[in-house]
Amino acid sequence: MPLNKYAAFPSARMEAFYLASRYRDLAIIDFSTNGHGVYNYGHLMRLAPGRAQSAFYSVPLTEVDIALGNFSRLYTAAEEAARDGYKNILLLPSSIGSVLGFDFKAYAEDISRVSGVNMFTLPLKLSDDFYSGREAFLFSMVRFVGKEKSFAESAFNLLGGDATYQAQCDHIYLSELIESSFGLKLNIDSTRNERVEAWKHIGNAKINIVTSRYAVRTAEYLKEKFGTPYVYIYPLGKAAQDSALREISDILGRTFHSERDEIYDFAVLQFSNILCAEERGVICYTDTDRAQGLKDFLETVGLNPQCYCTHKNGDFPYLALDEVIEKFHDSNDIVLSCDSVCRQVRCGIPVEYTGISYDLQVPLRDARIGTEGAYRLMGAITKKLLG
Amino acid sequence: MNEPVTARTLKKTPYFSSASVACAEHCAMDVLLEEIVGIGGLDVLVIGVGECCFYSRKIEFPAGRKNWAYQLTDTEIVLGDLSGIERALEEMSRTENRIVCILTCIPCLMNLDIESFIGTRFENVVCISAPDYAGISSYDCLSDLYYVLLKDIKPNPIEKVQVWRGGGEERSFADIREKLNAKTHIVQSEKFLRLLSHLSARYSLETIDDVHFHDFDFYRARGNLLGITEREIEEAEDITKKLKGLSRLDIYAPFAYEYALFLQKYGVRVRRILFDGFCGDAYARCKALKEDTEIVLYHDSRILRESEAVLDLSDCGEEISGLYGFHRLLYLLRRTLPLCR
Repeated sequence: MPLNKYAAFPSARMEAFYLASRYRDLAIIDFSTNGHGVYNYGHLMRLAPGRAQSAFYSVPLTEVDIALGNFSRLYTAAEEAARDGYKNILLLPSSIGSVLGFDFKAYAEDISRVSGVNMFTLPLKLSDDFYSGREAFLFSMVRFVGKEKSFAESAFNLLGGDATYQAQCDHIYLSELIESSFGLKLNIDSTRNERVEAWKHIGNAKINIVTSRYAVRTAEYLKEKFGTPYVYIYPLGKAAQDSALREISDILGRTFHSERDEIYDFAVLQFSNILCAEERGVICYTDTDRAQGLKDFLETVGLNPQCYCTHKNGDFPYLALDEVIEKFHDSNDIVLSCDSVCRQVRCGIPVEYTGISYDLQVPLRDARIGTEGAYRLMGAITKKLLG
Repeated sequence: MNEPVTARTLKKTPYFSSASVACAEHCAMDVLLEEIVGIGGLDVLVIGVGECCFYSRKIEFPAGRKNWAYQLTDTEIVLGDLSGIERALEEMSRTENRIVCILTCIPCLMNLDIESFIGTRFENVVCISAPDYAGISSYDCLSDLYYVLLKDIKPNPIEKVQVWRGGGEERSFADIREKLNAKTHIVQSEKFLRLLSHLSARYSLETIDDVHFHDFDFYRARGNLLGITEREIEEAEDITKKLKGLSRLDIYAPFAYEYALFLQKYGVRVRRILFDGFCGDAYARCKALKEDTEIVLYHDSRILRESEAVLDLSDCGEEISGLYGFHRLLYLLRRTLPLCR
């Protein structure tokens, strides 16, 4: 039901904006109404530490603009961005544009021609969810791809993640793991890349490591264009991590030897014992990547979690946010989900961040992936169960 | 850097000197939510799209009050299916609280006549249209809010004087209703003016507009009520006479349009006004200024250097906002007086 009593997820447009805001050489123009221009900007501080990089231009629509189909201020805004030194400009799709049928693609092309900039937009519909927004933005970057020589000869790319600092931490973790396991150097990391220009080097990688399903489309494109193979992984826990490294080694034609980690094994053993004693169920309500990762990990410790997805997908049943809260509001089971849900349920542990709460973002490492993520998760669940 | 915008033709739309997002205004939905959260006894249903639903959540309402949002689907927008909204309001109506239904940009744009639909179905629901593309300032909607909430109230006037300021002294909807039961209302905040003017016309209440400046006879007649002494009025008259000697005056201050309008009535030559915060009231007052008055909507100190007599109170916003009616006028006159010497 479209009624939101408790919380809502970001829209596709918002999510695309969050991802785009990282780029220093990409201006963003929002041609809608005042609210979107302001809130989009103010919200960025709650996703990651530090200031947002990009230049934001908001062209609030007025009645006159709507009634007369006046787009002149959009052209003016593009000229302003060009004067400020931006060659690349993202024209954000807007809900008003969607409803009124604005042809943003046509305007982007015309403005590019007239102003000498490279303006592009995203093919998002009114009710597209946040996951679609991530896919649309990442795939829009393929217009910049190239195979120009980068500094690293034997390199890999990391594609995926959301706009939060936690996603960057996940990729930093994976990056260090892959470097130490295979001697490869990181080429482009989509969660930390700050330059559109960097995409010119993306074709140089030996392999693309995809951490989100939404990035598969981009990886497929790169495979077709440059022949770069890819693998999709979202490993949580040692078993999944080793399995992911084995997949990578197969593609690279290298050998990977998994080693026993006694400390990890002991932690898992303790954790399993606690779970047996407490006899609580676990509900996962996250995006599809995290849901799969959590499911795989929790099954290794003897749990059979109920997994639901925060967006429509092919792998897990989708539930609206309010439905999940009402369903599990009084449940004693552990709910692994985003901050918006965890505030409303009895035993919630946030593993995702919608950013509606006012946490100070600080650059402390907070990976949710691999063995580090598993330790964090086991610690959080244990603390919740034992108080 | 923002370039000054000189309004050659005054238009009833917002003015933007730059598209760069710096200190843009909050949208009307947010302005309303921030106002309503401080009024007990009111629940809210925001009707809009994904962004409206997401961002309306950041205003946390106290326990026992609802701040819900309804995200319109494509079908509802295109086909005008309001049954889902009806169900939502049915669920919300199970408490004693009054419900404010905020219609954001999309439902207004598509003329989903939710107000008529709600009509007599829900007695405790009022609708307020808050499309951000309309009007001038997002804050203009506050006047509409109080009007729709209370326009049908029948006050029981008693011999009492109530002062209406913008500070939110009223804690609940019941408090505001109770406050309306006075015979005399001194209005010092624009957001209450429309409501009080409406009720005054219907129920023979006395409403004193202490938002705008009036002539000296007005203040003389109401001196006791407004706490103005005869000496203060004489002082103000004296300064005003002296200001007529200036060949031209530029005013850079909050409410510069209001002050300019007053001075022009008394023959003072005001050449140019500069102010931030263009809104519906500012538009109406600017329209009443002499035609050759230059209206500049963004401040730039370079413009001020060209002038002969400049009243620059750009740093006194807080001080000016803390004064009301005649005392604000007197403060401005006193600050202008040195320009005559």
